[in-house]
Amino acid sequence: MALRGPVEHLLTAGLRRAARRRPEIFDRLDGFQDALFVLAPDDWPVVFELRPCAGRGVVRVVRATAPMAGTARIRGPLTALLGLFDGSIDADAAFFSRSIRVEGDVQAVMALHNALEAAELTVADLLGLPAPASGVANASLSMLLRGLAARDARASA
Amino acid sequence: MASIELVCPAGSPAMLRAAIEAGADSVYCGLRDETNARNFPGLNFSPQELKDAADWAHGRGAKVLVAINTFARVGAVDIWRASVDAAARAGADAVIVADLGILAYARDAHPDLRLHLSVQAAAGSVDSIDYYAKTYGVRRVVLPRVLSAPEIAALNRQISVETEAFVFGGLCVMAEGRCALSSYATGRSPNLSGVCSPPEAVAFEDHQGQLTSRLAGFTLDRFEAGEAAGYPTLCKGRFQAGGEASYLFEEPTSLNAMELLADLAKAGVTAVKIEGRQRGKAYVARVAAAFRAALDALDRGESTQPYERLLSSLAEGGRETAGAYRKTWR
Amino acid sequence: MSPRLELTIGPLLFNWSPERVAAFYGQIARDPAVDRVYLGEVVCGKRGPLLAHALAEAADLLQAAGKTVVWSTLALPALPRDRQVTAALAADPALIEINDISALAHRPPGAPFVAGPLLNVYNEAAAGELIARGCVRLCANVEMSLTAVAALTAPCPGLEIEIFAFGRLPLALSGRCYHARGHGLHKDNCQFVCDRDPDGLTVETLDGVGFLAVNGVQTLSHGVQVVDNPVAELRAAGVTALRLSPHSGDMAKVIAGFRAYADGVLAPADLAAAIRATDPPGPLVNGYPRGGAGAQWTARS
Repeated sequence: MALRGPVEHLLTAGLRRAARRRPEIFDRLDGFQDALFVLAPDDWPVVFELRPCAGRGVVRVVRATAPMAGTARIRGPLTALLGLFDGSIDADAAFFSRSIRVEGDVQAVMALHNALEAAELTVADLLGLPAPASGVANASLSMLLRGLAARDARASA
Repeated sequence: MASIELVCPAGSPAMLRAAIEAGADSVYCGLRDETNARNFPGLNFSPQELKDAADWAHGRGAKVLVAINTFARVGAVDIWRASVDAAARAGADAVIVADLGILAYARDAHPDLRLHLSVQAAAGSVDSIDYYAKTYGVRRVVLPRVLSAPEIAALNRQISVETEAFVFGGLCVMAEGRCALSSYATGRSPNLSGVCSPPEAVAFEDHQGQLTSRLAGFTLDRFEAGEAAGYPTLCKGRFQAGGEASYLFEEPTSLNAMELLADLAKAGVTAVKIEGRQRGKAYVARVAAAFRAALDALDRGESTQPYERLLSSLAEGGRETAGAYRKTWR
Repeated sequence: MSPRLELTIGPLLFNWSPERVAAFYGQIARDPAVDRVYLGEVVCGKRGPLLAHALAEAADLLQAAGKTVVWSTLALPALPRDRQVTAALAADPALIEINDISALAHRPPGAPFVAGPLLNVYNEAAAGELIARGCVRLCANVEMSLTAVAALTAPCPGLEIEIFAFGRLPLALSGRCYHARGHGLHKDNCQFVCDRDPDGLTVETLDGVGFLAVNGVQTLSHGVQVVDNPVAELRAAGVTALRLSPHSGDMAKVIAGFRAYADGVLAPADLAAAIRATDPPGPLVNGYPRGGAGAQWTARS
């Protein structure tokens, strides 16, 4: 997983930047600041582990087959996961249609969703890009992740 | 006939702005504590956010209604009184209250603050509405979701206060404020803690595509792969009675009474209300825009029909009902 | 020495036949352990006329036997007929139990009343509002823990406190009739199918675990509440009466069990066994008084 390091670094830096800009998000997370959220895009060999931890947050990329240790695991198509956490997709509707599935602490997931949505954070924000670029950012993140997935699939083959 | 006021939910300042930009006349919101009936993690307003939001809304000609609509915890009534004070300080256009003690406090401490009676008070009859109006000076009643449109019309002919009716979103099948199902299973309920079927008691189990939802260990439903699921709200679970499994209380549907807007207008309701402070800005933007368009059509004397199917993908289990507004629901 | 803890019989929540009702209250009238009886249809206005005669006769019998008889109002009056019945009952200055705020619109100022467990009185401020209107006794909402009851009574001196001590817990009311719905009928043409289930119709989860019970427009718990706190705790919380809700099992034994428990003759730890022997319609629960989920049961050691 040669790309894992740079991706983790990029995502972690973005998360911490967002935390500095919008510290109120952590007030909203309240008791779930130290929770470990696992975002698992469907049909991807990797999952993302996100731990908000105020300004010391960490994002890690781990194999999907690794045993689940998180507070909650959120599964679904990548676009739905991205949309879920930037507020462009209604979480309840995504859940009702079963495109998003949640395992573990449902309350933690609600807190994360509500906090990100209230802070009007997008994935573009997490990557430190200007808001109008969010479509591009999502797409480029997606490409980056797909590249990572392809390499990982080859590496493990 | 006066235009109907569109009242939309706001779980955060971002959602409040989205609702007003999409056409809400009023938004309702709560403080970030147990004094409001959507006491979910990550949701709601700090007193300062409420003040800023009210200023922003007033600058755009919109109103802010503050829900302080849970029943005060014994020995801690001052928290609820402080919420009323905070709403008054923020310049709220009204507070939405259910508790007798808090109604009395708002009446006495803030005589100029407009009082709305929360749906949690379950006041659905002429007599109870009269009592709240005469005793506490309540100016508007949010009607229980168990009344039919003709019943609302009859009610409005006999009462002196405004009425507000839910038209979209989650559907309580029980009389609101008169339901303890959630605390029976989990220890927490709307009346005790401002939450129903609280997320910390919810568990999902995915077994080879079959999804089982549980609340505090009680199985509420089971879905085959590909079948639309719902949040495990207790009254919308699948249960067995008399040897038959069914959605005994209510299917996992949500309320969409857009097709009845004209009837509700004729029935004399002052305002229509969208449920869902917990559902975020994408939701409220869509629903507010659709209802804005429908209400504007109504004002022009046109049909609301073109807008009626705009929102079904937002519905629970993908299904909608006009609920109790049609009498056959019972 | 303080007076004995009262035992009261709550309003019959189920749709029993007039014969069964007459026999039940005849037995209650003869039972010296009972101090007070609440009468009247609380759940469904449609049932009222079916039982009016049997209940009127029961009231005479109970009063002649020295019991205090208190009429209870409907919990969710909706139809004009429901409103008339409620208004007529409320206008009578005799002691009544109020189960919906609408009754206060017709209550003469200062006329005494019991605030029923179906009202939303969760704190001392709300209780104070009702006391100012004539409330002399509060039957605590079933969701309230004993600790909460104690905190409510402390600032309300003189307020009598009753707690829901036995029976399936009244949990919810609806505009929809679940008995009719379960039988594929409309509420307006329900054929009174609720009369088939003298303790309500048990509702199980998909895994076959008993959970709730439906009784017309009302939803009850499947579990049967048995308050078994040490009696000293009840008294310290201000409790003056224990409400026993009528069920089809051996109510004479239920009453005897609670009388012995309230008088200190039967240990709290032995109350459960005494009640289990009366054929209750579900497992025993006691979570609410302890501040937990209502469905929980914790045995006394």
